Amino acid sequence: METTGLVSIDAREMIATLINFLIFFFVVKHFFYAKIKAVIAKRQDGISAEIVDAAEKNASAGELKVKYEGLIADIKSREREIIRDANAEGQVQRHEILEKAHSEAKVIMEKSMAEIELEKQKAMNEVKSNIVDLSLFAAEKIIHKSLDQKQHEAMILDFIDKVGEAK
Amino acid sequence: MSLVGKRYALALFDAAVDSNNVDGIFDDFSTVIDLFKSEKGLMDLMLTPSINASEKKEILDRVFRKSYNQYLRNFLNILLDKNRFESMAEIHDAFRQLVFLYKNTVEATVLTVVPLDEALRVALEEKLKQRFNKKVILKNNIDESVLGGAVVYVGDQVIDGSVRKQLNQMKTQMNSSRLQ
Repeated sequence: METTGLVSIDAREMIATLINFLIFFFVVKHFFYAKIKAVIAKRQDGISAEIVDAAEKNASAGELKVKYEGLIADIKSREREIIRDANAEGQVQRHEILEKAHSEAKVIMEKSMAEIELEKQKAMNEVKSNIVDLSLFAAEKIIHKSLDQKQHEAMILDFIDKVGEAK
Repeated sequence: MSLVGKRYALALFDAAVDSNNVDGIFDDFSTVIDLFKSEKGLMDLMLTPSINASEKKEILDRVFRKSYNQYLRNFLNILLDKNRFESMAEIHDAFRQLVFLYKNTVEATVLTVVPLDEALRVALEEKLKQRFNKKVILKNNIDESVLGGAVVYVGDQVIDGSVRKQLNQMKTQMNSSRLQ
């Protein structure tokens, strides 16, 4: 046996290995190549479809993003509008409430003044009525004491004359 | 005034006119009424249910000693028979109205502070007669609240010539004037 170095080339071994490889290659090619190819093609189709789908979704997401950004802008605009309207409405309501309060206060004041005036008039009328009653009471007493029989008869005679006059 | 009162009064009035004794029957009836008003016990006796009608008639005859009119006596007996004696005052009122109408007479009441003497009474009756075209029977009531002058009531009419009225008018005027 010929001794060589640590690395040597054996031609027979190389040929045998080559033949084994070829046999293995042809067996694999003959029996599995089509199936492997089909699996790879199917896988490739699937990946391609997923890529297309992803691209479509990406495009769709972009559209949606634009759309929703538009909507958000509209909403913000609407929100500002609502706040502005609410502020304006609030101002109107505040004004109305103040107006109403002033108006009611005015009515209450006028009513109170009228009631005070009425009470004042009532009190004055009562005083006046008392003065009148007192005066007439005094007059009654004076008449009662001062008229004698002759004066009464004279008044009755005067009445009798008038009874004949008026019908 | 009830229908019963009017009906009985009309019956008595017809009898009085037929007998041509309206004044006599009216005077007697008024006397009877005055007596029953002043003697309440007598009226109670006549309304007592335990005494029968004939006994009550005898009592009436004894009380009035047959001096009152025969028509009126019969009439009172009918009232006893018909149990209408308690309506006698009402019947008398209706009868008086009929008699006054028949005689063209009206009752008047005059309120004064002092009693009317005869001259004033006659003068007032005469004036009222001219005013109402009826004979006036005047009744004088004393009422110091009149203060002076007189107030005459004739039916539903009032002729007020009193000092009280003048004072009341003055009071109304003073009250209606606005106090400043």
